[in-house]
Amino acid sequence: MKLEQSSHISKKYQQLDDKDLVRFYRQNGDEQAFSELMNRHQTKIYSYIYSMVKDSGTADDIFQETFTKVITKMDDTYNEQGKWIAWVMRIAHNATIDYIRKQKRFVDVSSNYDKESNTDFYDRLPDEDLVSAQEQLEKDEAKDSLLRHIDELPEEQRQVVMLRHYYEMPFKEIAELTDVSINTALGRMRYALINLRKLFDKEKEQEENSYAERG
Amino acid sequence: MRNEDNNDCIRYLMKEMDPSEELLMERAMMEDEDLLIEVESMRQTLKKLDQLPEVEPPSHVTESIKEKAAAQAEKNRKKNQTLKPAFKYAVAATLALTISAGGAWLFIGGDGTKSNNPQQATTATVSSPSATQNKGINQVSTGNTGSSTTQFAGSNLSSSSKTTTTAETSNIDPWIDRNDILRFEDQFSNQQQQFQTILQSSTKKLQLIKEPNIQNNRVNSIQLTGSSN
Repeated sequence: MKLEQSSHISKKYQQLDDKDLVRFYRQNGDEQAFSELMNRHQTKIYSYIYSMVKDSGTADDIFQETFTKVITKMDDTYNEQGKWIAWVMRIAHNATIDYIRKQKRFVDVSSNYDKESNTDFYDRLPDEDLVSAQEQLEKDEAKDSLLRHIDELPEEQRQVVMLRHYYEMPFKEIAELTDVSINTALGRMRYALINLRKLFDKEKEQEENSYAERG
Repeated sequence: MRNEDNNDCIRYLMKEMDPSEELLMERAMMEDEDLLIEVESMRQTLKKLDQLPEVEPPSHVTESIKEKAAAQAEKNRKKNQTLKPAFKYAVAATLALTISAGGAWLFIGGDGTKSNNPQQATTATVSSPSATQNKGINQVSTGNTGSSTTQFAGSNLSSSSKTTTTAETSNIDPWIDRNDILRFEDQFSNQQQQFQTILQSSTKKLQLIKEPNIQNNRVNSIQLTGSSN
């Protein structure tokens, strides 16, 4: 009975939009509303953080720090007129940038290897049993290549790419979040795509040369 | 090509253009092959970004956050519960205070108007000698209506040869409509006796105010000529 009720409540919460869930949590201290908010957005937030810092331990810390701030500061600093996720994303972004600046270096571009968990970025992805081994290998190679190239982008270009990809954030919001003009944000995206294209072309050229050398 | 124009490719690809702008962009691509190639090339690169993986946060991290959220929610609930009774008491106290203050203001303010209205006092003095005789009547007039009503009552009463200042006075002179406001008499032009009867019975009903201190600002002027009915 309790389970049915719980399931019913969950379904009810799933139908609500972020704004209502935030209101429920703020006004009534509704934990389920908060859980639903987390379930909706945790993967994208974590993916963004992880893609920027490339270390699971650090990503965990930043993710936790982000949500601790969300929980404790929601009453004081969140204005309900704005999108909740944009507000959370700003906290996550700032925490990530703070961490990167503290490290006084950009993330090591050559490694997707996670030192703490001794795993690669892809090891944490769900298995896709239905895909054949060959297809999986090609897919992994393509992803590997993509991540490597993204890592080679300047930090500000990478930020824009990630924010756009994980959040489908409008450029106006990206511009606000990164404290630049909308044209600068658009320009960064454009240069990111141009640079990625060059990197892919270069990679392709190298592969062709190596095949030619072998042949 | 300006930077803004270059950014149009991104805006077009990211669907951040108005439909009219999109149309213009598509027309421009039809006319400019280089632009078309650039846009298509960017589209291909953008498509590759779809392969970016999404990573789930570890469950122990999410659980820990949810626990924190629950603790914070509990804290907020307790805070609200402690605040609610206090708020209720505050509201009750404010209401009680407001009612008492209002009552006190009505009581003190009512009396105050009598003694604190210099205009009225002056009028009462000026309208002598009838004012002296009609002191009781003049004292009744207060507040906003005080000045005009007092003068009106005073002048009318002073114009009478014999004023009605005491309850014992039986010879009551009726108020005369000197300004020709009422045409009461005209209605009885041929029925003088009936008119006199009505006049007398009406006049008998007039009575002096026994307790002029009773405050009723809105009806002060009526009280002067009011009847027991």
